[in-house]
Amino acid sequence: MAADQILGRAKPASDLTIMHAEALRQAWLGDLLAHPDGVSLDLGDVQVMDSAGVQLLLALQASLVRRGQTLHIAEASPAVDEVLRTYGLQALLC
Amino acid sequence: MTRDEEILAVARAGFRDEAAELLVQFEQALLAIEQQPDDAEAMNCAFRAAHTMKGTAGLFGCEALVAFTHDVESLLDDLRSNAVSLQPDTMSVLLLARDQLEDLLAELDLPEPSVAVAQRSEALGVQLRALRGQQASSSGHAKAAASIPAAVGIDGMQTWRIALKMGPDALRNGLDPLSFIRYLTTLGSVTKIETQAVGAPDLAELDPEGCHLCFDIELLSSRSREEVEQTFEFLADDCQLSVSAMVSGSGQPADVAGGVALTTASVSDITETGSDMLVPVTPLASAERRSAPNDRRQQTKDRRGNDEARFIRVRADKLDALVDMIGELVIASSGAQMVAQQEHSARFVEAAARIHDLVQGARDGALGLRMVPIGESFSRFQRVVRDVSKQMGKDVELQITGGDTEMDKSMVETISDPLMHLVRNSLDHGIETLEERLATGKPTPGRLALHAYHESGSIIIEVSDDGRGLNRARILAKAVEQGLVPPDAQLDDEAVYQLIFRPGFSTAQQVTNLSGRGVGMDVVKSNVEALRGQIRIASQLGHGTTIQIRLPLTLAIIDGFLTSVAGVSYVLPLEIVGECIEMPAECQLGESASGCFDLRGEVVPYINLRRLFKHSGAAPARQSLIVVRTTMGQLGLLVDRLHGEYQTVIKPLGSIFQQVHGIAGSTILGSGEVALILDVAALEERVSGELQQRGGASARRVAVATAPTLSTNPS
Repeated sequence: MAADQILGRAKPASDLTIMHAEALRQAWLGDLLAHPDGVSLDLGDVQVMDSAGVQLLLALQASLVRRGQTLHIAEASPAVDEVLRTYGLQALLC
Repeated sequence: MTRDEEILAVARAGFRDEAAELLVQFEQALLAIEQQPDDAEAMNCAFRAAHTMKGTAGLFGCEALVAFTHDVESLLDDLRSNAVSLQPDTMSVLLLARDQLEDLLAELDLPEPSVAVAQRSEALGVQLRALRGQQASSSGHAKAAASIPAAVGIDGMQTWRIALKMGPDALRNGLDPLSFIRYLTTLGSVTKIETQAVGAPDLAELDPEGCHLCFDIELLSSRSREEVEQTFEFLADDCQLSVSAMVSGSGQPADVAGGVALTTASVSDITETGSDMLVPVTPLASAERRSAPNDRRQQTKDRRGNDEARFIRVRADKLDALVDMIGELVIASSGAQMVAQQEHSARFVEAAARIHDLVQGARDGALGLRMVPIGESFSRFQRVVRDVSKQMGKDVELQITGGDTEMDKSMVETISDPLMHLVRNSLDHGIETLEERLATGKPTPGRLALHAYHESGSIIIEVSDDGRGLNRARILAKAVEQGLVPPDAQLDDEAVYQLIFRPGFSTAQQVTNLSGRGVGMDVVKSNVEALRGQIRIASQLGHGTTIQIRLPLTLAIIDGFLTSVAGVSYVLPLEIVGECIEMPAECQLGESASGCFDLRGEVVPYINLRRLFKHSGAAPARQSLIVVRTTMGQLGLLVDRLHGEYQTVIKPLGSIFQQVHGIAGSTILGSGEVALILDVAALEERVSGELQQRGGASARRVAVATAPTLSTNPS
């Protein structure tokens, strides 16, 4: 990840769970996707993540891939790390 | 369809109906045995049910059903002959087997058997045989449904390939695959897992609360297939699961999921214990079938001897046609009576009166045919309460009273799902866990009561619990937050509780294991109102909640009381009429459609129907007031003229009249004129707002709040 890349940055204010899934989806559909080089997510403070959260990440990734962009997870809390590993999705963490 | 196929189709439908009844008996017997393990009669009943089903299934060549039922029957036979004893999980397995029988029956209608159902048959079959103290190898009888025992590698470890595809509503139903997959790691080690979102939706396409995930998992474990499958038991309806054994090192599944013929590759993998599998099955199966008709005749003879009441099977549409015909007869009889009076012929009047009496008897009999005791639909709640309370770790006792209260059959079907939802709600949110109850000094087990009775021409069904009760403040806060009521609204308790019926009121916090058939509290209320009923709530925080549903007794014919206002005929149910008096002086005051009057010292509200329905013209000099009994006490109805008793056949109003509150239907008088049937409860609600504002109704509270079903404060 070169320093001069223009990335959309986001740090969710809430947990990545079904309760907040729709709100997060709306937020991310905003100008987050407008940056040419992709998105960087800071999930360092996420306390709880469930399957709905995983789906959101996968969907965000799909949106970016369709634009030829990439998703980076800059920070992952222990909860996020555990969930992604349980699902075999640790590749997202690189 | 050829003639033979037609006959077979009809017979098969009859078999399914009979089997459905057998399953009900089976379940009740099992629940009885669970409560009372030495109940020999219940044990015999359960065995008979299974045996009869097996025999009849054999007649129709339903192999899968025969094979599975055989295992059930064998276990029950061993139990009742004391060849084996009850294990702690015997009854649970048998109840699951009963559910499996239901699924197998449902399969008869499908063109192809389902893989998942076949796998569950096999899994449960193993458990049933295990409970008889036998090895887990399949008996020779179950040929097509069994799959080959998995190849066992070195050290007893086996790699299982698990393909799991989630259903779209899983998350909404409170089932997150994450916890189930985490649990897998306690059974062994997950050597590989691939997670995908089906269709790879992007952010715009994603349904954020739906479930799009599917998983491809390899699990290295020493556990059996059944244990692996059981991990996902609770996901059953919301996923498609297949578990197959992988031949160690080959990376290929050793058997086709659901099991078909023996493949050459897997024959070599079979160990000695599986060798009895190779015994040809066909002679046994056909021998069973040949004896089945004889068995069956014996069974039906036994059953007839045991039944106290004899039943015959009647087609519902024929019964409906009969009830309609009787309805027409009632109208015609009234017409004849009118003519007799007009002809001033005493003999004719007498003859018409005799016909009228007979028609009334026929009417009552015909309507009685459609009435079924509500206890029949209450009894299925026993199973639900048992299962759900075990699932949640709560100790709940279900009390059913008034099960012989009768209700129109068509209404029973419509009210069943809402009742189920209310029961599950009480179990979920009402009754507390064992620890909470002990901590607050409440008695255990928690009590959930279903109570039905007749009152003033209606049937009342109450669902009550002695749990947490509704939190009025929290409900009001949530409603204000969702914009359902303005923040400064003044609402009494009943009005606040009614807020939970608003669509969209339920929150994600309440997402639990309730089955997602789209039955929310708002659907409960609309179902009740579609039956021209009302639903009310009374609750005491910390003590419990009672929900009361009031429904009309029948939708077809009522004994009516005919009145008229401004030349228009109105009918009200005769049962609620208390007395008729001359219009009191105070009713002449004021311009509004409602008010209060003095009835022997008591303040009673009344409705001026002429004004309420905005009839034009001047009122006659002498009007009459009918005092009727309602849920909330008494109510006066001011009309022009009274015409006395009238048998009324209710004809529904067209759908454009649905919004008119206060009219329940229409009827045709003997003269051919149309009369309107008053919905007194709805009328009362319509004006209660006005009356409340004028302080007239402050003394009136729902009688439910003091119902004896709420437990009293332990002190």
